[in-house]
Amino acid sequence: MVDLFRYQKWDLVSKRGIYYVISGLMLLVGLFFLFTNGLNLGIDFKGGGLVTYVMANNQHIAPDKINNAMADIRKALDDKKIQNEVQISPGLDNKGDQIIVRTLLGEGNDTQRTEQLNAEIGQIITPTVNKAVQEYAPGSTVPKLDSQDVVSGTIKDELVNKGVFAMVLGSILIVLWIWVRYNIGGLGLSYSAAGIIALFHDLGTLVGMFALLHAIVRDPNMFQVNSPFIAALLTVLGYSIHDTIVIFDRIRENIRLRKGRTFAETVNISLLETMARSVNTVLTVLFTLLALLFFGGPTLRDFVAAMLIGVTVGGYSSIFIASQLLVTWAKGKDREILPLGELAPANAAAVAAPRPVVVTATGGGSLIDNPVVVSPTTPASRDAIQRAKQAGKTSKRKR
Amino acid sequence: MRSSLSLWLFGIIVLTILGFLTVFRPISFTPRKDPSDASRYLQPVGTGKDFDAERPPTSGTFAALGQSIYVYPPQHDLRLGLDLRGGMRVVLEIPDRAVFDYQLSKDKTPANSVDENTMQNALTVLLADPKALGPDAQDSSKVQVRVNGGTVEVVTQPKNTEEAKFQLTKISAAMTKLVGQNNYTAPAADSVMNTNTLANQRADIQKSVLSIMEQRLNSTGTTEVSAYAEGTNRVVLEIPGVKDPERALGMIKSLAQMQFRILPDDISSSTDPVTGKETFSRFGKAMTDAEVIRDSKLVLTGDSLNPTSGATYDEAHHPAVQFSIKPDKQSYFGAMTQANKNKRMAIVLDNKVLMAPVIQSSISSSGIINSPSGNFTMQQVTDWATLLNAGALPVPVHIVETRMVSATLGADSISKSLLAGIIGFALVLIFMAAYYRLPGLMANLALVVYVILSLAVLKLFDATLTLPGIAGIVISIGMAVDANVIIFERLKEELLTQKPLGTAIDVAFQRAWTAILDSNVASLITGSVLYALGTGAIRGFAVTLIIGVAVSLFTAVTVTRLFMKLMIRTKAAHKLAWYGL
Repeated sequence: MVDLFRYQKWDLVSKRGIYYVISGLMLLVGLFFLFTNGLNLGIDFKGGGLVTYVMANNQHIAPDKINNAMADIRKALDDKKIQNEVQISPGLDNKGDQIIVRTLLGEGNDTQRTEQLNAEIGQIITPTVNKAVQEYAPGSTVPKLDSQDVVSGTIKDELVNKGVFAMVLGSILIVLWIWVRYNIGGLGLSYSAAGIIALFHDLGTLVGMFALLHAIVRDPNMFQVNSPFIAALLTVLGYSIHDTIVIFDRIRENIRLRKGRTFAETVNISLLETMARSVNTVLTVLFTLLALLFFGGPTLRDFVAAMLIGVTVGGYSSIFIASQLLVTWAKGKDREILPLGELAPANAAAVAAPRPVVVTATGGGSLIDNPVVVSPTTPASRDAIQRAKQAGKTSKRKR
Repeated sequence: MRSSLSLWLFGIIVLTILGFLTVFRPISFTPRKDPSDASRYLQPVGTGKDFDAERPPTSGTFAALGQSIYVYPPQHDLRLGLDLRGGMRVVLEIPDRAVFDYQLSKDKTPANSVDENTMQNALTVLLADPKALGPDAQDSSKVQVRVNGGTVEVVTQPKNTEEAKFQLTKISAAMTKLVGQNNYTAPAADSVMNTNTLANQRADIQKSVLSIMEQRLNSTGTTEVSAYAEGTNRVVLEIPGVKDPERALGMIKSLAQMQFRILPDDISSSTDPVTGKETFSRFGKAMTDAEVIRDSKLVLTGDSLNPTSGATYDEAHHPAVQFSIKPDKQSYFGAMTQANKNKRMAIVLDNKVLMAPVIQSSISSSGIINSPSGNFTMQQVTDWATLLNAGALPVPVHIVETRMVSATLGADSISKSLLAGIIGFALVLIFMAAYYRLPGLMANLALVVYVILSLAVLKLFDATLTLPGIAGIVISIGMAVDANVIIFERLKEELLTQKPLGTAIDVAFQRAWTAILDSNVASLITGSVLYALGTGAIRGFAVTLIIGVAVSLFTAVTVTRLFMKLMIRTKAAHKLAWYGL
């Protein structure tokens, strides 16, 4: 299979203004929804109770009655002065319907509220749900309590603090790591800065996307932000930096090896050379994430969604933000941006000879023993390889 | 060179087999206890024993070779978290307590010969009003007052030293009113809630709460309840296989303070024939439990009972609690019950009156507590017996977090994520083979080794596998391949230059190594942050991520390289087409 990217004549660098605009827009839209609608905070960060009941296999509430059932349960709980959110999801495959009730922490003495929340579940919420199920799906068995979580104000505060601290600490450590790796390597500020900006771009876009998706899909059980979201965020940060480092490494190498090209060209070549690897890496992680999304249970869905968005954005930012920023900030004669293939006039004299194109038609043996020396970026070399291959093949037949 | 390659290969194969054995443990040298036989091994409540290790299991043994090797069908041996096993996790916070110890002067003058009971009631009433506890205190239900011999002990949970000092002045004022200023010694203001003593106290109280909780929960027959201390003032309980969260929470919350109190004659009781509930009234006016307690006289507390209470049946074959009294209190209680024959004795648990039967005869060593209308359930009396045996909590605990996942949801999560993992794994295998051809196949082999070794490392560290942990393993598979992708892309480039295959492989691995190492450092950083700051489930994810990164550094590089070096010894492997060119 041929490398789809390495020999393309794509210019990924000169139109970078477009990428900045696209990213900027996505960030703005995301941040807009973040500050107006807000994130769908789960009980880890808001406290309160979350109870899920599941009906027995193959038992359902008639689809047109679901809203009525939800309203009934809501009203019954409101009457008992319990702030609540109720959601009924139809069951997939042969699973019964799922009833999710969320109660809010509310005001008052934290210890008492938490005790109340715990007591409410068995004393009020379960009977109410059972009654509604009997009413709207008569003859069905009592729904089973699948899961029950109660988080007090004390723990909620702790989780929020720990979550924020984890994000901040993680970001600082990664920024330090980028700084150490590139600044001390003597390459200058621009690499570290580009990596850091890409990092914040990823952070902002992921959070913004979740706010956006929550605003669009009003289901309170989707795109919830809990502790796993923080875990996804940090993992994505690590992954995105990993991506960026690989590309930057290649840029560094190419600067050394390919003298006489403008910086922009070098970056472009590096991007094309690493594109196959970038795409493949994102693909393999996407395969596993998509498998988890479609076949994994509902518990992890928000986490996997965050990882999916994050990994995609992370891959995008390494190529289309971080590397582009390097070009934008390039100084001096590197600022001149020329179309691919041409050398800057000032550099023409200082050009090191590109590696020679030597095609050897060998009398026997395989390409491995009598290699062809090519310069990989010119289309001529592709033909050279083909011809050498043919020669190798025919020579084998001769034997 | 040849022999060292074979040695490496041998080493990898042995490692893989060992990894497989570690995770699945099909072979064992002692007969394995089969959890499904648990019901045969459990002893009755109160004896504290569960599994009987002497009786060998009858199921699960696949074959016994000779006398000393048992072979079982391969079944993983990993420790599963509660979100996969099903169960409940409860976090308790232990408030600090302040103990106010007043000593009454020994000389009995008219001023200080106040009856103990009156003193107790007066102080209880005073402290029932939140205002006495602090300027902005709201909860007064957890104050304990005990008057015994010549000492008065008041235990409260003030928020801070200011509140404690405030309470001290209030209580001292009440004492002055009761016995006169000079007839008692108050505790020093600094000693009531001293930060030094507090630190020691916390550790002791934490230990005490821990052991009490363990005892309470282990006796309900659930296996493997784990309780551990967290920080200085928290206790975490992990109860697998909980079927009734209400009951478990009830067992945890209960102070388990039992009191035997003698009711004055003017309180009468009547039992509702339908519900069996006993209600109390005086002069026709109904009384609350609190009022009954206030007006009755304490004669015995739960800590005077032997920790051997049990569930039993009374003469009418209704469930009842059997208790026995400690030797040093037996004569006192015997005398008390003898002197108060035909009066009612209220049995109070956690400030709720369970029942108040008439004392028929003197009780000195043991007795039973049964419901007058026989409506205690076996579960209730078993729970009460357990609570009594475990002992009263030194401080009321606050439940700050509960998480419960049912066993079916847990099993569902396991099967679904396993399926997703297998599918994801298969997709990655197919992709690598299709795109990278021969090296891809080598990488796939290395990936299989990777999965087995990762699980083995997890087992060796005795780490707990949680649901995010499984996700972590699946995602690490995708990330582990990345190292191979870097190497193989580099290999393609090296092959296009002047190197023979063997050298090309070496150079590719070498040049790619720094990029791989550096980029995995970032994942290690985030994994460590998550481990340090995360709670249970997230920690599981961090652990699998870190282990995944570490093991992948080994398999993706060393193992793949080994396989490739072995492959190129065959002629067939030298076709360029096999390398994706």
